[in-house]
Amino acid sequence: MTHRPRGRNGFAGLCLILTSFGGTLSAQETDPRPADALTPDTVLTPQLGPRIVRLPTPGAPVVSMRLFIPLREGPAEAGAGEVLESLGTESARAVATQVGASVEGARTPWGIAYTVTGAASDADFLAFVLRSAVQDPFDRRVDFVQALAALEADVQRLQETPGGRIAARLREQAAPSTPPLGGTRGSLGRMTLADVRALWSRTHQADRMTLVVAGDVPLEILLSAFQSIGAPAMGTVFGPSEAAVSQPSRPAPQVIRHWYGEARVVVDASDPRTEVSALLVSRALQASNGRYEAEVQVWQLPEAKVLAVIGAAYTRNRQEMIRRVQGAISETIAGLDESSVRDAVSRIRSDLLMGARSPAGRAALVGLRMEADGNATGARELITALDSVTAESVRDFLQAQAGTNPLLAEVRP
Amino acid sequence: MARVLPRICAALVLATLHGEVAAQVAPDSSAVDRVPAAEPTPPPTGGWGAYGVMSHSWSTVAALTVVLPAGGAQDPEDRGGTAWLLGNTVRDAVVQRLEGSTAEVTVRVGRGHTVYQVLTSPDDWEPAYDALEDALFEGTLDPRDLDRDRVSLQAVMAFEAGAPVREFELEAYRALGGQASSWSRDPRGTSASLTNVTAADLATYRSRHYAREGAVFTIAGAADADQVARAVTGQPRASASGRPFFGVAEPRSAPDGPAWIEGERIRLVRDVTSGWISAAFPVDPATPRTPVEFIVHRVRSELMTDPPAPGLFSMEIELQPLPTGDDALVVRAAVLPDALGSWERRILETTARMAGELLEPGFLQFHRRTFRNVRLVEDATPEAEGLRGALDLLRDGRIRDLPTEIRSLDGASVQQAGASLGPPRVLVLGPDLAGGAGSPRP
Repeated sequence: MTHRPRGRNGFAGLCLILTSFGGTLSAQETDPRPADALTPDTVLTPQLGPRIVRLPTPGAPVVSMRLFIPLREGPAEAGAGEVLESLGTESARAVATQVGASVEGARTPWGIAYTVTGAASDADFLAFVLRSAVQDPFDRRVDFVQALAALEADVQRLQETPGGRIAARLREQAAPSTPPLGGTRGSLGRMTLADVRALWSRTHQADRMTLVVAGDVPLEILLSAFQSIGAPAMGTVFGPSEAAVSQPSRPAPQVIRHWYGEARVVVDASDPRTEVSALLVSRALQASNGRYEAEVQVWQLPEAKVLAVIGAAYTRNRQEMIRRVQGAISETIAGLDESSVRDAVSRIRSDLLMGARSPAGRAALVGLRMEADGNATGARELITALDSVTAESVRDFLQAQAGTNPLLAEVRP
Repeated sequence: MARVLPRICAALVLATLHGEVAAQVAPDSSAVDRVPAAEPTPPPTGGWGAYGVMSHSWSTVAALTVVLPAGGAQDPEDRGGTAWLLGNTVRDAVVQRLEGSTAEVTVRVGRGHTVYQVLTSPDDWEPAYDALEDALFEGTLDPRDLDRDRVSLQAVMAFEAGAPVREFELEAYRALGGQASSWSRDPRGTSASLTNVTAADLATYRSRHYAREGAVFTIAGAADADQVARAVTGQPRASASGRPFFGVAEPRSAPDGPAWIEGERIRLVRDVTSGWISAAFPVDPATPRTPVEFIVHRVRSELMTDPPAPGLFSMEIELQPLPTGDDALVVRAAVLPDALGSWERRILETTARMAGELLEPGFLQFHRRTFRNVRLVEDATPEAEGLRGALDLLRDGRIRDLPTEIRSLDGASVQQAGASLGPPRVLVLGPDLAGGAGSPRP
């Protein structure tokens, strides 16, 4: 199982793909230590921003700072956020290299996040690195062209593969008003640096940003270092234009097998049963040893999650594959017991805690939960909520999903 | 270690305790209780050669690390790969013992060391410790695991067969450890030698080389230091405020001087499409570790530029433990064949410049700052910190307080570290584009 932040070849935000698993699992009691490690000791909201969330890390020699900028794109500017993130990451990395600090950038379903990690004694310089990430990209024409070309190649690659195509079709149905984070051929084909700068001007005000700090940095340093960061404040912030953009015809993927997918939208994006259920469905599919390939994916959209089951099979096994995909949830419900649910809960919790074992991972876990709903204690609440997941509650969840009409997509040879 | 400790650790105290010698070391006077010199109260080590705890309230997992000072070098002559197979079979046993948990178990079998690591949730570290301890020293090993691991490794070897880089690696290690040394062989053995290894061979190797009193155990991350002390030693922690805290049983004897005092250059001509260079500089074992790591960082920053310099495919620069117990700074590079000469010169000139270089205070501060960031970020996960702590204990008998040591780097200590590099042993393997550059090794 892999938790993957949206990469260049993804399309729908955070993506949890469940295909194969090693070993069996068991439940664990809630541990106050890791939960406390995920609970901020300070949440400050200066009038001019950014909001500062500091995690308790007494005496740690290393600090990670994660600066989040929320943004939403209209159809005509889809992909501009990804380009902006690429430019910002490059700028920050060029500065960070001077002192040996590390920088990561990510386009999340809710915006852009930059994370810098280095020695706590260099906290003021690390703040400068983040300032570099969110500066006006007015003079970045060459970098813009390169970033745009890379993004266009990713979009074309997705459309040329049946797996990418079927997932894109399901996502379009699940969130018709939300353009793909990586953009479309139509939006990318018309994009200019001016469009990217316009998005920057509209979104990069300090009072809209959130800084998550996993490290022992005095508040006064944080407050002074992040003053007047980003774009000038705007009196009224306008949303993106909802004007549509025409799309060129899509290239036909090379398809050898039949591909079939079903997806269901989970409205409560904070419900941990989505991931637990996805793991259980994946195991149920894996146990069958069918002559086809099937996988379960969880996509994070800005307002919801999507639970998708996608299969691929040669013609002679097509019906068997479709039956299994269609019956995956019912089959999982039939096989539910407390032991398997405890195992799945334990695995999900372990993955979260393992991912948070570095300062950057901890800042990311807390930051991503905040991006979803603004709740600074969301990460801790997620860990705690996992303890209340039982076989009965998963059964309720899956039965509710099974009772809805799934979104369907098929790609044939 | 006996040579290094008196200089570095003022608070080191050695005393006999139930047949063991134990030590309590204060790495940072501001953070650790010092043991009064008059009445030392050395902590027990629970039978380990040394153990250490790096406990952090903010961690979300615990990393258990065991380092055994034995690896492929201790394989029987016709049973190359025994240590590798034993390591993986023991790992399999730990995984089976921990079935039902989410722990992640890894093993790395090197030439002179074997490293086991278990990453667990904070609640599970004690069962993981019990499972690891049992599988290492007592538990029954499943011969089916041995067969499976052997087949898996032989498949990898079949894939690698004939790759020129393998010959380069073999020759590079021979240049460090000697032609006939068992240390110089591939610690994985050969496909043929793996076939010879039996379950009895694993048992024999384990009984000879897997000894608690020679091994180091550390735990880093979300583990309560007092609980660890009780679980490992059966007694409460001797020092209440130490972080990290540790105990050592018996100091290891350290080598008297560098591994070699005369350089050497070997040129192997092969009809291949890449070129490889290995340049190894022996480090005087009396030199403190952190300044030497600083020198490695300086060499890296000069040679491993971003974007990479022309002609360079890949490069590794590391401190390589040697069979003699000390280290060498080793630069390995894969380059375009026509860049072999220029890269060899560049590597040698860059490293030679470090020797005896007295950095201007401004430069020193600049490089020290970069080194601090890179080194501390490397150390920022429990498994990395735990491994570093274990290797510190094994080598020096103490766990370094890295931020303090990096802050203390000055021009003199850096200059001394640079000067401690001895003459290089250089191996160059690649085509002879100009003709007459060297001769094949018989």
